Amino acid sequence: MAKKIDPFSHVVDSNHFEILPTAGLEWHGLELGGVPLKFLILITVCAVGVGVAMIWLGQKMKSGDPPRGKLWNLVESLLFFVRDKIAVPGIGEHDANKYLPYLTTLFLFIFSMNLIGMVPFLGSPTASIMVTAALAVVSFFVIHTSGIMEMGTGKYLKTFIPHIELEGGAAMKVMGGMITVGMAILEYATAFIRASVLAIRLFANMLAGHTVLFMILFFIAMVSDPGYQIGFVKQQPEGVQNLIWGGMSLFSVVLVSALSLLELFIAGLQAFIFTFLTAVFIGLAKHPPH
Amino acid sequence: MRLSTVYRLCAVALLALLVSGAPVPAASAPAHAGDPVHDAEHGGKGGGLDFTGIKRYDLGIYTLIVFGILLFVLSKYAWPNIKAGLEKRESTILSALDEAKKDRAEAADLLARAKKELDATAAKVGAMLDEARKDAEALKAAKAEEGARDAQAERDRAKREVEADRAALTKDVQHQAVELAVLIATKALRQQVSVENQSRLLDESIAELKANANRA
Repeated sequence: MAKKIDPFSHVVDSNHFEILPTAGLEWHGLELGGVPLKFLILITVCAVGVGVAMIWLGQKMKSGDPPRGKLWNLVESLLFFVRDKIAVPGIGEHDANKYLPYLTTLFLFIFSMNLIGMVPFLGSPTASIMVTAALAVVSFFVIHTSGIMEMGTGKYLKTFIPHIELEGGAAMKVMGGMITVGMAILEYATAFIRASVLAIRLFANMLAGHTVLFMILFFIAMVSDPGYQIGFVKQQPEGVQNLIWGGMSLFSVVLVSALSLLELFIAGLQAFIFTFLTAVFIGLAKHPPH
Repeated sequence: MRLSTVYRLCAVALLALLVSGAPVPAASAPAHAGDPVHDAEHGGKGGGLDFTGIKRYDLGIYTLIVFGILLFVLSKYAWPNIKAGLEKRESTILSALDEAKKDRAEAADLLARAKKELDATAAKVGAMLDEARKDAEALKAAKAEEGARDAQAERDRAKREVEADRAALTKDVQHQAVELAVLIATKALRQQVSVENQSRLLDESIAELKANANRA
């Protein structure tokens, strides 16, 4: 009987690290009260990595000297990338530096969690909706708190209500009022939808990317493992099966290597999009369009 | 082939090797979907939206805590240093910029002054040259006049000397002629005069006269 394929099994959280399972290099049983710890460990590793890098950068920059060495330049370029390509375009020159610490931390944290998923035996915590949702919740509060601090709660909440004036009699005025209420409800909902979209976009991209990589590699099992083997291959003599296995292995590995490079780009791109949209929403909350 | 290219190829090959190791145990492992062992390993029942981790509230809360701690730690130990460093760097750049502006203004001022001095010097040199030329011309004219005057004086002096010599010579010839006449007359009176005597007397008188002249 053919086994069912679970394409997400190597993308979602688990209680094991499989470094090279074919060589018996595995680590199982990482759980606490039945809760898998793999993503918790990876989140911690990323946070510590970002923390150490930024504290190190702070120690280096404290002197006010220009950057020297590849590592210093690399880390500092990330900081200036967030300032020049995310904070300033999204929020504006005047307030960008105020939000730079939050945006830089957010960008580096997401970027590192995306990148760590590219290490084959690890995984990307951002492929879990609760991780991205938690970050979106933080962004939601930062966005709206900045709006409230800029203009006060009442005035800020009023910015969601559009000004619609229809010329005509009483019926037109009633219609204008109804449209205003309807649009205000939509605007308030948009505030939550924006945060949800931030979470879903990042999660979906990372989950889909890693799942695609897994499935392409799984083609090898689909032509070699009797449990998953497709009918066409089963019907072939053993020599032909071996030939198909060899061809499929080469095809899968080459394609996955190429797609992994694309995934590296997507890891950066998704971190950029999440952070950039947060910056844009902060800018919109502080200076709403009239 | 460059060494860095070799490193890159090795890295890609290693990556491919590691990645390619993943599905094999998946294939040899028990069936995943609906498998209680697998579900237990992955913290879910394997159905519905479990693959999204939607029920992993612990993961969400843990992310919030870790991110909060990260923000706090960085705001305490990283950002103040980064801010201080950037401010120092900014002030250094601004002061360097100010200094450069000052230096440029100073250089422009010095250049203007040097140009002015150069112009003044050029004018002074021109005036000096004009004066020198005038002096030279005046000197040349004076020298020429003096030379002409000296030459004229010299000519006059030479003329006077020639005149004096001629007068003295004429006087001398006249004196000798008189002496000769007297001598001839004296000798003629002493002897009879024939043609031969006359010629001999004349020769003797001339010779005597020459001898006297040489003695004088």
